[in-house]
Amino acid sequence: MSGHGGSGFVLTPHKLSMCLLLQAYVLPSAWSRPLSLLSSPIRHQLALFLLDLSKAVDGFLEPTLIELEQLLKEALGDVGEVLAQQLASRLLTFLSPEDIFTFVLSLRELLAPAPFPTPESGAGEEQLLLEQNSLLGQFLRRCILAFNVLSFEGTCRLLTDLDCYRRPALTIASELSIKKETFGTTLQQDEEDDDDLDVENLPLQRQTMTTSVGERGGAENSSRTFGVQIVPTEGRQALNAHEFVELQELDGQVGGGGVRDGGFAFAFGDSVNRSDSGNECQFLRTHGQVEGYLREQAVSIEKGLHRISPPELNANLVLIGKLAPNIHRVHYLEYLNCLHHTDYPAALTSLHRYFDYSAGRGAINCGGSAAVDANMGRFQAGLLSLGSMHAHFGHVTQALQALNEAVRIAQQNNDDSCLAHTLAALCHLLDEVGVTVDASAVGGASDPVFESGSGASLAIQQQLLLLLRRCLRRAQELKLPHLIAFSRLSLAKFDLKHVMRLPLLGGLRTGQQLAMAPSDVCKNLRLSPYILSDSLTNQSPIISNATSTFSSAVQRSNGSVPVSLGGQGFNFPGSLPSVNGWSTLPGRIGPLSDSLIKSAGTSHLLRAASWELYGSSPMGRVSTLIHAYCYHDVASADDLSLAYVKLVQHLALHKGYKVALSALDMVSKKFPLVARTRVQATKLQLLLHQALNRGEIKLAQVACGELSALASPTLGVDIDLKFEASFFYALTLLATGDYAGAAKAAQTVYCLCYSNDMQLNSVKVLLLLADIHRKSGSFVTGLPFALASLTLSESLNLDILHATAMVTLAELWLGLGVDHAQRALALLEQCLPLVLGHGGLHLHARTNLSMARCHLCLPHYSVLLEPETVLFPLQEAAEAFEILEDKMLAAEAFYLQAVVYNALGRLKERDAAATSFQRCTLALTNAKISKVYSASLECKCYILGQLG
Amino acid sequence: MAAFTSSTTSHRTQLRRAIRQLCDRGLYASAKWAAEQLVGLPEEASSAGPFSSTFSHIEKSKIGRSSKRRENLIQIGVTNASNEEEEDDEEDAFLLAKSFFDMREYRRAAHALRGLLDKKSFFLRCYATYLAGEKRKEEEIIEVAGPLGRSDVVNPELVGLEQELSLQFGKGNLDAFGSYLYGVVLYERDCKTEARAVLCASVNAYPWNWSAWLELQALCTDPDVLPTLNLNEHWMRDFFIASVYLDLQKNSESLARYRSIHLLFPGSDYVLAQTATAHYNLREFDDAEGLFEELLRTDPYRIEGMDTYSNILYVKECYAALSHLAHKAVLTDKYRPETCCIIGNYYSLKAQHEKAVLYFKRALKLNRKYLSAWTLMGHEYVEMKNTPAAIDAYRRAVDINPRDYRAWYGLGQTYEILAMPYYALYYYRRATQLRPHDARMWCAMGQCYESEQLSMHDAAIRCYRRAVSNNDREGIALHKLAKLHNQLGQADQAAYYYKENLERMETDQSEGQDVVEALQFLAMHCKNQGLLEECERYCTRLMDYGGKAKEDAKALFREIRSVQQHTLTMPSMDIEQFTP
Repeated sequence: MSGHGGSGFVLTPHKLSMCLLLQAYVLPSAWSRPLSLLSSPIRHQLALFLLDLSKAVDGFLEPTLIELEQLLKEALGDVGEVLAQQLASRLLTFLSPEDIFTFVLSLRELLAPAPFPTPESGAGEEQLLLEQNSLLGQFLRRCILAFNVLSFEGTCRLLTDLDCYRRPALTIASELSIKKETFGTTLQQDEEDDDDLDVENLPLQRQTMTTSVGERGGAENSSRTFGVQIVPTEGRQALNAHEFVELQELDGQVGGGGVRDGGFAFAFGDSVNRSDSGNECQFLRTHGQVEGYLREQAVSIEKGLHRISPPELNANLVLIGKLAPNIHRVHYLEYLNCLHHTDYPAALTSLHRYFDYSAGRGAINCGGSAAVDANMGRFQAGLLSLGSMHAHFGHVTQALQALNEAVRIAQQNNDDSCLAHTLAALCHLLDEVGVTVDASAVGGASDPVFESGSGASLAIQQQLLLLLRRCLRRAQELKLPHLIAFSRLSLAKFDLKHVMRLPLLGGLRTGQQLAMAPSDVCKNLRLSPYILSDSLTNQSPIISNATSTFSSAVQRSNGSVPVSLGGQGFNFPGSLPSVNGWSTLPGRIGPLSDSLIKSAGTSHLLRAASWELYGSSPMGRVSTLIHAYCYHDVASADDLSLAYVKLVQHLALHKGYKVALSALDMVSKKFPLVARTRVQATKLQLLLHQALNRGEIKLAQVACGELSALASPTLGVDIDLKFEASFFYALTLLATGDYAGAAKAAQTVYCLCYSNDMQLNSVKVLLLLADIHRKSGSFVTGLPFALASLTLSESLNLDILHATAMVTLAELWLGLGVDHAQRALALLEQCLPLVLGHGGLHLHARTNLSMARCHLCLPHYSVLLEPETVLFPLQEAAEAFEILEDKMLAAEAFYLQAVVYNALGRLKERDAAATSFQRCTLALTNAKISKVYSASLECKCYILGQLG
Repeated sequence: MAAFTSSTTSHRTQLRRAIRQLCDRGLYASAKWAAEQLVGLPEEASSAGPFSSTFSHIEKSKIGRSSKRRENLIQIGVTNASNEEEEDDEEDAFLLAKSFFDMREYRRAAHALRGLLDKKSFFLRCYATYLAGEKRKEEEIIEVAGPLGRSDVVNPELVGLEQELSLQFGKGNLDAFGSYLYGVVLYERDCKTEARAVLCASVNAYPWNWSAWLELQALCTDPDVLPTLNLNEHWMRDFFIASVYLDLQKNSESLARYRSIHLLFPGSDYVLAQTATAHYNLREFDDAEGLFEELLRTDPYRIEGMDTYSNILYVKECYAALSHLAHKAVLTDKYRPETCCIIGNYYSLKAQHEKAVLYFKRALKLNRKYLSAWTLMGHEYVEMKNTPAAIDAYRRAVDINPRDYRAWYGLGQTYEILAMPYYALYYYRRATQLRPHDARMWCAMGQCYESEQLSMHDAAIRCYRRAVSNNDREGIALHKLAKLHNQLGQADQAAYYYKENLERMETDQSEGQDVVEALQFLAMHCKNQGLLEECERYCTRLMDYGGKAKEDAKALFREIRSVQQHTLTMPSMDIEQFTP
């Protein structure tokens, strides 16, 4: 046990090779001729190669000799090849424990603090020695130490392992003589004794395998041939290399006792036997490297990159678990893997196993100042992970229970940072996943904050707000920058999404400004990146003294919360495993950077959302683009998919649904599994829009059904999706011409919005209601809805919605009769700047069309005098509607165009417009829309026919 | 009767032959087991009783025929048994190898046997190689990971053995012993289905090798597997089925089977021990204790199964008996895991937990997969308030055998101690899955749900109901149910459960606070319901207890009296009121 040190540093054959190569680097004179004259650039290259190898985290198994040869060749070219061959032949010289012993002893020379002149070294040769505390020096010292604490059995074991490891060495070494010649000439060194293997130069002065090639039957050294006794003693002479290889091959093919007569009656440590099993030759890298590998895997799982297929990863994990049962992180990875492939029972099992084993022992790389008693450290983290897992699977009640328990245990154990993380997780749960109404009581029950008075009666949103504030306060007290950023962002998001309705909340000051306040949002948004950039650039005092607490906190909570929370919106930015102790890696700013950069990225996304809401889609697009371009390497899959989806939505608004759908296809290729729901939902929405525009009612109905099926059936969960689904349901009903049904559906949606405090969405619903009334022909009843939405959107600073409401209002006025055309036109002109600057294509077209209609209705307007005032907007509208495939409105635009052209007497253009109209109409009738519309269309067709 | 004795005689001849064959092949454990059963057979037919004289001639002819047929069967099963005598020169080498083997020089034995082609030598060579590998494996584990560490070391000989055995198996050259070893190797190579098939073939060809049955049992951890096995009808199969049932916690079925086996082998200590274990699993401690005592009378130096006996003594808190048992075990064989476990139990009973842990650790050093020691060590750590160590110990047990409900239960308890009832629920759930008819598990789950942190009373009530329907002997569930219903304001249900609990306590003749509480509630309830006579009855019973209960009862009495007087006068008043 003691032989392996605390950090799991075991001397393996691969490390012996590394030591040999180190020797070649430091003391080439100990090696045979061509290598002893290595130029110093090549030697430095070799050093870099070794450094790289000792730190690599791209796998968990040490490379085999063949792989090492390959790597050497890649890194150093011809020199590497010769090095590999030399290495192989040197490895073959280790025949007894004594050989290893002498070798390790000789390694100490490489470390001597002062230059160590060796008689053999050339005059001009640079003498390099390893600094004791350099990375390579440390590596070497660890190797020597590991050997020194090895028991004799351990040495024997090493030798047996070595036998297995160096079997390919025979083939490599046999190529040696040929390659060496060529190499020797290229190096243009003196070639006196290059043509045969210079055995005498080898320091150990021992007869090697390579020399026994060809001179078979050296009976006197038969006992010392190759490693421990591989050779069956009965009757046979020592095997030479060729025979050995043959024997191996025979073993592999015949697989039989026949060849090795007596089967496995070999002495112990029979390497032929061992190697057959395949996995005997596998050695794990150092614990640090394995942990690094696991961390990388965790990150790639969480980002949904899936570099390795899940079963493959699982096999790897099982292998690691077998080779090093003490690395518990493996279970955590198993958990993550299961989690991301929605294997609930397996995830649960792995999670519990992980925390059972790791609880109380602290993380392997515990970062110093753990304020918490090591005995108690991690149970709360287990609960936290459990809670976030349930949240991930949508088990809201269980998640709440687990998180509540985590809060309690964290309080009990004075684990403040875990508490803060748990609070954040609770916020996330309340915010993103949504909570059923009855469960909310549980959510507040054990929280001291809610016990003050109103308790469970508070609405979820208010609980969330209080929680967020509490979280922010705690984070500020604890100086956890990522949590501060998270809470700020969440608060901003909360302000974005919700309107504070009640004047008196449990923890709020009275008389506070209670409205949708863009200024608040802006303040929070600006503040969060401020603190982020602050911490990134000049390690402010807050950060520097927070670093230790933070990293230990993160290690304690151990990457448990993070992406598992992956709902929608943005992620809990805290303790990604990628953060845990990356400090060791070069090229990173610090342990904090990843999560903080991620938060910064998220703030851009939020900005995009706020721009969208407050009316500037180009600005929103810019923010989204910034996120997608600059943060794609650190952002979580969730954020990234959100950014892409936003871009796609922007495309849909401005370039039409076809383009957007093809873009979305690309996105869905990029996010196969993780962000499935969101991408799918977006796709369905786009399809729905398209189908409704084209008049394909059946398709729309199917898509609508699918959309509502995406949402979880649990009450109160996935509210956003449910809203979308029912909203589209109303739209579909409207398209079928079932006005009463549509109005009823819209009212239900409104109720949903009201009960869930979704003021922003309720504005949309009001607009929809106004639209329904307008289409049903009762313009007067539509007016109050439009007016209501107008007022609401104004008070909530929702500029785009405000503009839309204005347009709707104008349309309603226009519908009321020709007398109101002037008023409608005034309204349209009022909102025109905003529409032109920021509105989407559809709004644009609608405004144009309405304006044209207004002009046509105006009594003092004459087509003959100024035709362009009408024709230009009509042309614009028609084009836009064509892009959006909105056949109905396009038909109307073309119809008006045809009529105007007719009046002007421009027959050619009239006919073109008429044909376009006919095309749209035919498409619509093919798609079979409602009778009312088709009747009106037929009527228009008739009129056009009369004209033509 | 005739069939009975004839079967006895045939069993006897079979077992005698089997013991010799097993010993020849170094399968001592099986031989020991077979010998135990042989001795366990009833006395020779001569003392069979008054019937024997009348039927003896018929019997004899029957015996003759049937035993001949059996012998034929054996000849078919072990064909190599006949030709082995003829190869004398090979026999010498075999004898040498066998003596090496007996001296535990496995490599030497295997080496001495090389080149010998007959099946017996072949088996012994493979077996010796396997054992040598096992020995090396054990040594290596200690070298690599220390005595209690986890390690991935595998038997280095497995691959070669598998190759050779599969080759022979493919050619059809493997006899029953060879296929037993092949099955073992396959099992360790994690080819479970193949191992099962090969072992089935082995036990069908040669049923008397108990080790093969045991391996098969280890492969039948899933209750659904058992019916799929292709096993010939044989009396050894009954032993197997009974043992598997015991392993699968189907204790009553197992007990029934052992009872029928006991008729055939009335003197078998093994059957006795297994029956005792079944009783223990059913928590029928008195029966189990009696059986174990009997076992110790006939076989005073027995250590196998005595750890279970010590568990019983522990539960019954028999200090003296436990110390006596421990003493005897130490004198017999100090370095047996069972011995260490017994001593650990003794110290645990004496509340010297550090020492207990020491002995459990020693037991685990002797046998790393000794399940109950892990669990018991977990209990000790819990007592020592070292929860992380306890969790670790339990977890190790669970990972060795995921069907160990005690360890799951222990994990649940530990987390409950840490005030994490929600987290603990997962573990209790696992335990209840394994023992759905164990009231204790349900009670534990109920307690979790009931805890003030979760306070999910409905779920708790459901759990306690399950406990009650599964014969909760301690009566925790009834009392809790009553209290919960009372808390939830469901007085009728509460009264029902209080009554039930009262009845239970009356039959058990147990006294205590529970009784008082039940009586008090019932008295109040009856009074509120207007059942004054019943109330009076409860009050009278309450008067037997002292303290506050008595005072309350007195007050209630007074109240009842006044109410009764009122009701006597009330009717007349009513009539006066309602008659105009």
